[in-house]
Amino acid sequence: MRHSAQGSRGLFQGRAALWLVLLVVVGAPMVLLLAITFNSGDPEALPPVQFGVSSVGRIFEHLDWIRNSLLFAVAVSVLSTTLGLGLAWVIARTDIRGKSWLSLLIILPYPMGAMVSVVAWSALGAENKGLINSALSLILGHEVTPINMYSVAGVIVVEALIQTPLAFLLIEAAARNMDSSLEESSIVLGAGRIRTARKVTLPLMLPSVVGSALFIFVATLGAFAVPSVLGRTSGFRVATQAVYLQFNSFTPNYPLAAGVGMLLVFISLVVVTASNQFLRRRSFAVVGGKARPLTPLPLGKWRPLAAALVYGYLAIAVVLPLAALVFASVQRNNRLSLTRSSFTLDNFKYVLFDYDPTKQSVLNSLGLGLATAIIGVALALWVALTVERNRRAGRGSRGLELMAMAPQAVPHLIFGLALVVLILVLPGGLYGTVFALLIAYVVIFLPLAYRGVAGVTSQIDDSLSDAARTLGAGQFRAARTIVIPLLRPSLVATGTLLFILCLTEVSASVMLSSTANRVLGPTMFNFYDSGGITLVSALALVQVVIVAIAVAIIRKLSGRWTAL
Amino acid sequence: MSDSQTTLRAEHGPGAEGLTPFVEVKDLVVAYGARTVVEGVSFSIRQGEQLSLLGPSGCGKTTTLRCIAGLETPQSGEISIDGRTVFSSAKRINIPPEKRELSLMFQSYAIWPHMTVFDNVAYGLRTRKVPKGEIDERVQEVLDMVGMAEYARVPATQLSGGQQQRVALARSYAYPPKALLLDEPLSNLDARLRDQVRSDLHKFQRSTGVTTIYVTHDQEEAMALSDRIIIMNGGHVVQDGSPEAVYRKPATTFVADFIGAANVLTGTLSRDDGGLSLAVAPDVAVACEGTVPDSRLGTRASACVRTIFPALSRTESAQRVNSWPARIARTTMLGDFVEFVVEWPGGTMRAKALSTQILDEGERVYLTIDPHQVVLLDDTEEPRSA
Repeated sequence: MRHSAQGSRGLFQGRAALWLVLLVVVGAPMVLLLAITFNSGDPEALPPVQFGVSSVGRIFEHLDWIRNSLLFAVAVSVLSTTLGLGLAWVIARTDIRGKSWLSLLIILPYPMGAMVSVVAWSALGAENKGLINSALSLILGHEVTPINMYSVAGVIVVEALIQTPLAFLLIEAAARNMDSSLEESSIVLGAGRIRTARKVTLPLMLPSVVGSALFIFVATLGAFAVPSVLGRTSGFRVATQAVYLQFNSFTPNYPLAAGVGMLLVFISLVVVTASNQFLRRRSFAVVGGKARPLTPLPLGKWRPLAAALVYGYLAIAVVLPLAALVFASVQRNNRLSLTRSSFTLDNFKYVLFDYDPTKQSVLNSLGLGLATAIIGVALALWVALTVERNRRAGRGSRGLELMAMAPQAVPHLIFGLALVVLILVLPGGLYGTVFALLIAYVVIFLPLAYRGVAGVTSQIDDSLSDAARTLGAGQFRAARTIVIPLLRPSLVATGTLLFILCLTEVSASVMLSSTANRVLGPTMFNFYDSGGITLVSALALVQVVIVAIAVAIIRKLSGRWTAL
Repeated sequence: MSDSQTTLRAEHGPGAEGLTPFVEVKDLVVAYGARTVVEGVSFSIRQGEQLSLLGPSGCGKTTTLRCIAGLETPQSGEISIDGRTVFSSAKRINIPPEKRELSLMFQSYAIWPHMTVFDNVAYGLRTRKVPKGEIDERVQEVLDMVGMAEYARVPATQLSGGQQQRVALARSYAYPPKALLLDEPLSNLDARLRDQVRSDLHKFQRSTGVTTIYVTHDQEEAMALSDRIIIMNGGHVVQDGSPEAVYRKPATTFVADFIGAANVLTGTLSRDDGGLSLAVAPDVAVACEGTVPDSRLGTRASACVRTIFPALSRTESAQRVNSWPARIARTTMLGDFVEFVVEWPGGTMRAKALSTQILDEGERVYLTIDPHQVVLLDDTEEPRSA
């Protein structure tokens, strides 16, 4: 019985196969997009046949899109990082009551998804007929219109409310791990609470604050739903929206769309790299992790201020939008009214059972969410185990890790564009199928899945699977009976997170979805014009309920939101 | 597996011991990148023998053990178990660990936290497709052997360190391995528990007669738990012998120092009517034990004296050989023993005595060493200039 050099060759084959998969699904679309950028011939040609730099020049005629995107991203990043920092500090460091529930509620807008916020805020914040202005007019007895969410400021505020949970998650993790004796020694040495926060706490949290600001900058650069729906009347056009319109116009300009997209990718790549540096550096504020239980700072006379911050944020970011959705979804017609006869449940019946496009969207989204969860986690596990095994064998796998993390720097809409052009160029008829969406989802959420899985694979001691090997289990049996069962809770939690993110995805989906493969995000996006606010609200609420169930599952499994 | 019944019941009695090697390791070389951790290690074990690989951390002992288990792939060399070659770089053979029919007990015990005690112990039987009824019976039997019979249904996470160790032992032995490999199984236990577990392990080895390879850095463990010790240092085997032999006749200064506490004397070797002697200082010749080829006479050589052997007395000894006037430089009370640092014409020497013999610092005494306890070493350690 002979086994050819077991270790190295098997390892090499596994790694080569993985590289091939990642190069095809991650690398190929991006390479094609880069090639299209240099298409100097017919802008509608797919694949391009003539190459040159002349097409690149056209990007510079539209630098206002990029400029708008950058301004938008800076404004949102500053706003949500400030808000996130305040919330994180109160939750992680002070003795405010009900932390567990509060942090869950603070994070809620993140899993609910951008489209839900868009729908809710268009019901709440329209200049005329918006619920807020109507309510204010009713109270004051005469017509007032102080709120307009269709303005540039409105777009920024709504996007900032969506991004704040991310800032909170990133900064809170750093704040929670900080050694509280650093603060205590400052207080012992005679510094007051404010002085301690200013001189000790904030400087220690600074790397995570900068890291999260950069992270949100990149996320906002790729944002699509809010600026395209709420920003359309103000004429505030950002790059993602421009790419979408260029691609979907009657005379599409592929090189321009690709060029603007690649420019976004380039900017994102630089900023994401910087962001990761900062977020990793936070370890200098952390001592061991669990050295001592954290001593919360007593809020004292500042309690009302802290409570105002947390509950004010929750009222605006969570309660108001959800209340608006509930209210709008049970209205008989788009003139929202409080009279008894105007209430109905027909909207739900219509979107769930009667109207095929919405019914299909719900079913497709559920199926795709499930499939992405399984395939995405499996792929992430494959990468994580390969990286881990190579590390044990003394071989680096930096390249493999970078490849799995690369989609982090590609805005969803731009990856959607890259994948759709690849599908159009290749034979195989993937266009307009759910498989196109599946590939896109697996790739864009791979960095997140990889982080979730790699965090735990590295913690499982090698001797646990080695013991199984010496007791007669082959590689696969050891994986099946030892490694995977030990990983199961975090695999399921990561999978559930992927499910949620797929369900609420809009930007990549609008590029790949058509009449044959409808999913929730694009359907709400398009339905918004045709269906009216009551039906869209009902559909958004259906999404909220599904997400809420999934959030409950994650919470039960892991006790807290750890995945990001 | 048709003969699983007999396999499970197989007892490796003393009659099974043969003279042919049962486990054989030849010219093993292991390197991680540019760093070679095992450099040409060879040894063999007879069936039923209990061997220890002893050495300081980083000497390559655990790596050697993991190579035998198949968890590590050597650069070159050959390993065979019970007549079957399981690794050979020349013949390009590398049998995976699950097909080597060994078992390894890990330093961390590697008890699976997601299973009960029963499932942990039954694992090796299930992978070998032993019928269910037999599994139940066998698991109870081995749990009984380690005194954990009533814990079968307990989740593994509820076990203490000592209990985990016993379950790990039961798990390694449930499906009788050709050889039981143990990787520092006592190093995670506190001192009191360690003594208890060591004697349990000793009883277990004696009652099963299983061939064992035991890796440790603790010389007492190695002596207590094996009938042969291989001492490794820097990726090489430096001595191979019975516990008594490595203690009484250390081959090198490293072994002398590593096994028990010893004084190393260095000087010029000469032979006269009285036998061998080592001139450690002008006019100080220490008579010593051993036979050497004539070529070594007149060259520098080292010999060791265990700290327990130098005798100290207030009156001059009757023995004329190896007796010198000396002075107590330091006295350290250790409990059962007392340790002295003695200044004598040859320099300083450490000596240990029962704590009933109290000598004060500065006291004038006579130092006497039995020539049989001055053991000539193969290598020479030049004293560091003071």
